[in-house]
Amino acid sequence: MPVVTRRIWIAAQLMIVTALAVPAHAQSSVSGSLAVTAQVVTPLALVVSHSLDFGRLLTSSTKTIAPSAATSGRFGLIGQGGSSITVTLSMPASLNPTAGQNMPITGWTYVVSDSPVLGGTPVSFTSGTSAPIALTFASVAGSTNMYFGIGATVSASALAPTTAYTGTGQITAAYTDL
Amino acid sequence: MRLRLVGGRAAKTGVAWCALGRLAGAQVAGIAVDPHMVVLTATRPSGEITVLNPHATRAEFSVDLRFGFATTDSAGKLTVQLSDGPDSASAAGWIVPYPSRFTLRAGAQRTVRLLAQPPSPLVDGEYWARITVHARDDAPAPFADTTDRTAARVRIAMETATVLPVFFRKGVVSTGVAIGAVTATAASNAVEVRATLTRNGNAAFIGVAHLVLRDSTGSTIASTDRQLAVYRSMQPRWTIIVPQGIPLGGCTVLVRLSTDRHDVPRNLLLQTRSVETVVTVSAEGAP
Repeated sequence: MPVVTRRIWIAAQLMIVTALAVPAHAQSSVSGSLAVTAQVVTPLALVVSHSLDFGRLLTSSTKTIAPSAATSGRFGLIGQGGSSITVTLSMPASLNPTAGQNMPITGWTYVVSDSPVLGGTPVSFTSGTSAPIALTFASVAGSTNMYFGIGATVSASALAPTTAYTGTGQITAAYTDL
Repeated sequence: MRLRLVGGRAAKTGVAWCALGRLAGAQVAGIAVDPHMVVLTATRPSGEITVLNPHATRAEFSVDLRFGFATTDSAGKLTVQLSDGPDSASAAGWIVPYPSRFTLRAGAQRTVRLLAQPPSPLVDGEYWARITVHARDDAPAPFADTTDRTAARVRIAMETATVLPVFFRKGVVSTGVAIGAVTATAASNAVEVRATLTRNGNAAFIGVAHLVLRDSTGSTIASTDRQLAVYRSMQPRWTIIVPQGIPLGGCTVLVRLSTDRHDVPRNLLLQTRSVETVVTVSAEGAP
């Protein structure tokens, strides 16, 4: 009960303080002319456009998806030109079936580019949490984009159940110049 | 002329969100948070961030705060150091997000309010935390073919998170930065600059490093700007790209640090005088 009470009290405080901080909208129409200076800063956005999808995998087989392949995991970052960030990739070491043994997933790689046509040399990283990848958005006015592709290798043993295997990776982007 | 003023913040957010449309392809997960930093004060202890779900379906979001600040790693790369341990500059324990968990339908956005409840007494100064906003798919898409029993089907879903700074300022706050040892080393078509920077005052230095490479006659060969934040001390490494074939003997690098940041609103940016130093470029491998 004390926890609930405290949360309600905090919520009430927030509403009150916010209400006090809101300017009077009754005065939102004015006459005359004025110079308006607006500072538009692009918020950091992270958008995954494609999951890493190995599709069908026969038993006793191995499949590798390159980070620049069409079926690689793909995501993009939008940020303010000149901003510096880090990207951390936390990827699983195994995938879980609905029943039976886990399937190992190895050979994690990524590529990063300022073009959606993901060129460049793949960089290897281990499952778990990668070392932060330091990036700086190109120094241009306004927003700019960066693109990532992620690949890996899975191997299905002869005894691997022919079922669905899923796993979850996490992508974290953090400002480093603020 | 009659001019109707609308919520400036909403307008700014709307403009900025438009940039999301530039990422092509069907979006399967994602997150966007605005603004990119939050400053609270003793007289204005509440603030807010706006969280957008750019995902094509509903997604779950959670918000938490940890102590952290920008620094550099041993190689001079910028990074964020997060910690759950006690620290006299931490505001993570007394800034509360509300709500801390919620779901958003596709394309929807939500305001998350932040309220500072600092302990008393609190020494004048600036206190820091990092807000992490996590997003996860509320209902992952099922495999298209669930009847296929001849092969396994394998897929990795992606969760996303963004981390941004929140500051709490109490009383008189000031900032500054001192430039310590600086080296500039010639490399292949580049000059590598490494500097030791130490913050002055009781608040983080949010600024930019202007780097100018000059030849022995004082003419500018190349220049670059690098944004940075000095919370305590750090040793960033910067690279100045040099046009091919330019001899670097006798060249110097000017390093100037100023608070001339165009991505931070002036009313949030602590100002201080700029500082600078000049260092001679040494050959690669030279002591």
